[in-house]
Amino acid sequence: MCENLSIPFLLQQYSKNGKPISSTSGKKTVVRDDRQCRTLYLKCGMVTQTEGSAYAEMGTTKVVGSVIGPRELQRRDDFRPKGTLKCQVKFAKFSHQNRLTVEDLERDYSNQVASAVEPAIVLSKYPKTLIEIHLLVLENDGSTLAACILCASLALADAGIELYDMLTAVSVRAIGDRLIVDPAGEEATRVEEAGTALITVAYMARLHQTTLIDLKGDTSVKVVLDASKLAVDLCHQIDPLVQQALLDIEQLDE
Amino acid sequence: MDFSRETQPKEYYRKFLEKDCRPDGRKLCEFRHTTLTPGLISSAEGSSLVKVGDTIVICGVKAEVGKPTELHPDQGIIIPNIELSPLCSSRLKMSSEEVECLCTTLSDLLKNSKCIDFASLCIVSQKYCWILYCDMYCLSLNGNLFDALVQSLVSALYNVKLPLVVFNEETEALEIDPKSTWSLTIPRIPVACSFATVDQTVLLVDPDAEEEAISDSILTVIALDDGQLCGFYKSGGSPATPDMLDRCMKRAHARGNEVRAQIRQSPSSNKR
Repeated sequence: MCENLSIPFLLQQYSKNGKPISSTSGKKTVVRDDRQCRTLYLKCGMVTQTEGSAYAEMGTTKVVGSVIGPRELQRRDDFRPKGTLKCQVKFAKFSHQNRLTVEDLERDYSNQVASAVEPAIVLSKYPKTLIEIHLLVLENDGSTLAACILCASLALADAGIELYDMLTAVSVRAIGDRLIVDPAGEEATRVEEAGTALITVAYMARLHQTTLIDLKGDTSVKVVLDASKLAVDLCHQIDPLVQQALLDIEQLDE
Repeated sequence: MDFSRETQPKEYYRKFLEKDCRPDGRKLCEFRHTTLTPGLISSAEGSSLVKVGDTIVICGVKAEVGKPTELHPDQGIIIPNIELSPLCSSRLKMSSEEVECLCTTLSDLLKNSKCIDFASLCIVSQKYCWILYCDMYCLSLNGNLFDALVQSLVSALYNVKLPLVVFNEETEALEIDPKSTWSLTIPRIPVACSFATVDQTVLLVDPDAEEEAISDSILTVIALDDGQLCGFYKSGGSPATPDMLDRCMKRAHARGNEVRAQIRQSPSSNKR
């Protein structure tokens, strides 16, 4: 490993005209409505050597996931009547604009995805077994937690693990009273400003049940309720795409 | 039902090898279908996704500015890094030491093949140079990891676009112009080709996970453009005859030409 301290060139010096270079300079900005999600692409079965796998793309955010299990738990002392779920989310080092290690974020997301997905799995049918979900974020451009949850849910379905329902997830950004759906790039990252928040909702469309609401930032109760309601409506819109991704697995098997 | 594939894999394979073919329908000297997709990751300065059959490797290159090493003050630095997680295979057997060895092999390969002009990565001698971090992630592993790693590393570097950086001597600061970009010149492209030997006589090209498990030894040849070789690895296992080595090298050169054509013709479009 290199012992030198290297600085990402974007954080380095200034450009010729004296202005600092922003991370989005040179990129095309796509004009989107506040209530419009980016293009969603879902596919199962990319990885052939694991029990189940999926790939989710929300705009430019890309996540790959695979499921290993159900496997017998090695520990003989505690018998667990329900299956154990382990989730690990990793960020590729090239997934951000600046090459940073994001161990805190990885741990946070791992816990969030595990708690979002666990209620959807029929764990009582898998006593004394371990189900592992491994996710890798290839590109982080907003709505990453939502993409991770979608990917995990599809990978579980691809592995043939029994689920009560498929999970859909959407992120909403609240700037004062204004709600922006599926924030991208800089819109997603600036939650440090007062009165702004990022809300992610994981929802089971057929059972009409929410498994996760994650709020980062500070905002009023009314805004959180409005944002959650908006997110649930969008989850219903995303659900047919998730169903289609499952149908495509069926067709591949034939 | 025939369970011999799981219980007696070698016997199962021998039935196919007698007829000069393999269970997946390939001939003994045939590579799996290879696809190359450059420029997938817009947050990276260069990237490439390589699929060799079911083995999928993605390489992303991030560029940073730093100080050159004491030994080579006029050269930039390229640091390959490989990450293998259970994501790619539920039967992952590689230890972290083996993965580190692979990283060192790739790093040596870039220097020995002289495919990259390290001096072009230097901005100001002894003060500033480009440091390229090449992170490779295996997304799916079905044998023959090394070939896919080399191909993804080289095509990602081929795809890299760096901004022009100028050192202003009056202000003693670096001026970066993100709109004018330049690519690395890679005059010679190394291509790796792996072979597995079974029963000490049969040579299988591009072994998948099952074939690697039943093989006696694995041979890797790294070929360059002009009929030169810049790497040859055979780690233990059964001995190989000179005739076998000869066949390997010939096949590696043919394969090298195919892969090089694929890398050079791929649209080097980075979404920036």
